[in-house]
Amino acid sequence: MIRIISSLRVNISTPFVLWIPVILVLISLALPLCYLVFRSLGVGSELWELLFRSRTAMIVLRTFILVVSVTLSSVILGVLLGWLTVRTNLYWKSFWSICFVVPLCIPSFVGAFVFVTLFSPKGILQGLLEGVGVDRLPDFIYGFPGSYAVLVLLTFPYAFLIIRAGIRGVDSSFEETSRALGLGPWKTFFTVTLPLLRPSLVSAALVISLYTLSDFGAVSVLGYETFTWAIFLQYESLLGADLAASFSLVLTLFAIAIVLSVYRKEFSDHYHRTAPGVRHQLGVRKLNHWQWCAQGICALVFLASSLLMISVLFNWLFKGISYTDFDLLSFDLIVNSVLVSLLAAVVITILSLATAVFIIRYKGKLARIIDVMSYIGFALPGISVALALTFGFSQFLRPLHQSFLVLFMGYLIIFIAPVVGSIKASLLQINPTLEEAARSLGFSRAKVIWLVTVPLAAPSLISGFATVFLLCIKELPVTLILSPIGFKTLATSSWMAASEAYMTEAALAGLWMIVLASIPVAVLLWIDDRYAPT
Amino acid sequence: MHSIARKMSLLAISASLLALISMACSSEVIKEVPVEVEKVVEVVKEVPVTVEKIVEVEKQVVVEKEVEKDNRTLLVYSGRAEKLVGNLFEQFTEDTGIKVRVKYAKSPALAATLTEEGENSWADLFYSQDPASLEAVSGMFTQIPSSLLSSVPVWAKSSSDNWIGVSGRARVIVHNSNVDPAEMPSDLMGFTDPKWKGRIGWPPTNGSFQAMVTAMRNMWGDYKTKQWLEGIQANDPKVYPKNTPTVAATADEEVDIGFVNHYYLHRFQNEQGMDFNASNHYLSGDGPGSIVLLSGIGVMNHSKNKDLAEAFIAYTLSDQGQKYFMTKTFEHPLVPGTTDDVTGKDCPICEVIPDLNSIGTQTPDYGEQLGDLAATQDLLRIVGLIP
Repeated sequence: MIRIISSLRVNISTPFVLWIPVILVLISLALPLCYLVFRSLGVGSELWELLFRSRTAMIVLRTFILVVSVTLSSVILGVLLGWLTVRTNLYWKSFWSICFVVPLCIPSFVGAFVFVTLFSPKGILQGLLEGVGVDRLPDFIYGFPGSYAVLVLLTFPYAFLIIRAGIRGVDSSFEETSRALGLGPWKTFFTVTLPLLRPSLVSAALVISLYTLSDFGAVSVLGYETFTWAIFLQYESLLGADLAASFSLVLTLFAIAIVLSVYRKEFSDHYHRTAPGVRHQLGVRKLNHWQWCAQGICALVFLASSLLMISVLFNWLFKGISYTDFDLLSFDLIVNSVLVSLLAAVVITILSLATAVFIIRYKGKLARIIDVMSYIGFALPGISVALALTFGFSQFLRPLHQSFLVLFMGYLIIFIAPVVGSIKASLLQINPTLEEAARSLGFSRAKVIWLVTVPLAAPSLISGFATVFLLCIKELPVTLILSPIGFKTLATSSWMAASEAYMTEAALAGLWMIVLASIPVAVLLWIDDRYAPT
Repeated sequence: MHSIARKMSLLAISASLLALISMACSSEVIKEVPVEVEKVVEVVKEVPVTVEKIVEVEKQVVVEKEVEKDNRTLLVYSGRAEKLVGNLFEQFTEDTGIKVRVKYAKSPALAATLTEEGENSWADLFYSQDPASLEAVSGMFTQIPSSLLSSVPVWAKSSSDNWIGVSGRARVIVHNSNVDPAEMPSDLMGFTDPKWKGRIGWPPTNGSFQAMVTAMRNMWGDYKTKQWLEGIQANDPKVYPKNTPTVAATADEEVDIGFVNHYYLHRFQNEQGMDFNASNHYLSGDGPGSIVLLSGIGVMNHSKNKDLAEAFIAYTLSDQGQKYFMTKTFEHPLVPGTTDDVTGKDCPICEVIPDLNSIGTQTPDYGEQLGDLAATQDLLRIVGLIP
């Protein structure tokens, strides 16, 4: 016992400014897990009966196939687009960067609805092909193909943001050395740049696989039965709150397995220069006659991931305008969405920075436990997290129950993974001797974080902030259950409208979300471009 | 210099005194400075102004007292979308002065939330889209006063009187123009005929659908219900997540008929016009295909605002409330006689919704069916429709 405790002991010199946020994060992440274990205790043999049916095996297999394929595709797309927008002389770089982030604010059920509208056997596409004599499209949208397409198009922005920050942070002297030693550009990319990007790639892969694991919107609309879908059905059926909790616990074990399978020792490797010299970035690569090919790829991705969705939303909007007397959205909704998301983004980015610094710079067992746990919230269905906090606060801290504080805690639990992942990856690219030098010059540990670490990790902080902001704008299950009574956001009212077939209102709220989300992202990416090391 | 300044300040003070201060003070001013008659008139003019001010203050006090007297707010968990009932809450506040704050989410999610919260919930009232969610938390409800219960038909309330139905929706067959209503079977069993192969859409995970299957088990027994489910499955039905996409797919001719609730069609008609490519068919037989499902309200036992909650229930059952359901959400009112004075001019869609009495309304006992929902899901699992 004593040995366990002493092995958990971490560097005592960890400063206070880190301890407080890290403990806060740890408590938040532990809450839903404790709740799920507590609820699962009430489940007996029926769980095992359910788990070991052949149907369950099929669901697990389907989930696995979807997670692997979506993750691989999104990461490849993320590397390609990240490299194009950072390392080449691609025209309209900033414009494309913004375009590639927009899909983050499209809720997956909206994306799936749009896909059905477009590509179902009698959808809009068939309507366009009617003249050519196509009476009915083959039924390819439902099930795996549709779910795969929608999820890739909606999740590749995570990979793009994380990997983009990673590419920004790669010290190009490694690549220059490789080129000087006679390796070609392609070989250098695969043997030097990609391995240097490994922390970003791992973070991106984890984030996307866990998001796919927890997605409900797309798979339910497109009829692909995954594990999360089964959990939601348990909740919907009203009988199995305990059963649903134990299913969620099983999902958590999946998530831990995924995290541990990619979680090797890589975080103890070095991804920064150790010899003297100044970290810098390779000059941009001229695309020459590849320019138009690259533009084509960017345009295609933008078309499929956002433009199609936006135009279908407009289509719903205009269809409805002519028939309903139609009330523009109240200003309150917009203010609510923006304020809550901004505040949540600030809080979560700060806490994530502390957590990431703790994990990378103050290694130890506790750091590793927090590291693995930080991913779990992202894999849990929002409703499980929301009910966990509902139970905890209503029973033990009622004055705080359904307050904004609890809402932020819910956001923290489910959204900390992508931010910590992105910041961790970029911390690995910063040589700790820089921080040690500042320390030796007499700065306190807190001051070193503020004056040295933060500016060096700025790109990842910015991408983390933008990610949380967008995720909060579209978040549903946690907002619905944990927010104070009477509080509404664009996402909640859009979903409410869509689920009752009021497509006009749903479209309007959806378009508002996209507009609102694009502004801060544009500003942030612009800042990022301006102050990036060149 | 000093004296001039003093005179100036005296002037300023006296002027301000004249302008602002009451009669008693101004008499002092008159002693020092010779005042013309006109100025006295000015002072007199000011008197009514101050009187007016006093009146205003008194009014404010009265208003404040009223607010304090009824400063309570009715806190509602609504499983029905804001788009459906938001205006109803607003009307209620307008007509009764009772403030309402609402948390909107899906009914089962709210039932799960209430279960977690227990007595510590902030909610006073749970307004649910379906009876199953109400039954799931019925142990937390208080009795509904019999004066309210008596205004709805006996079947439209819980058997233990702790929740009450306020509006109804009928199960229908939605179909597009490829289907002639004359070729429709009189009974759900008719759709197992091979001529419907590839033409059926259904949402087997949807709560209303499962309620229909539960009713089916009560009327037909498990064996025949299983036969029906397997018969439909042999016809390769398309599976949809819920009612809305089923109706949309029917109109798009992806399928020809769908098993849904009646009002989703009317929402589409309301947004896209009456030429929307689908209609509702009400089955003529009185089997499980023509049951009416309820939305209902329960009052939390721990609530300190039970009187406000009951006021809201009374409002939904009033003529105004019932007409709201009919003309705004296109549901069936439950209080008899509501439909009588609504004309097609007020509500064109109401014209195509048949009267509740003309449907062979089947009225399941929701209290007894709760135990059955588990059995229904077992059955759906056996035939492979849900995991």
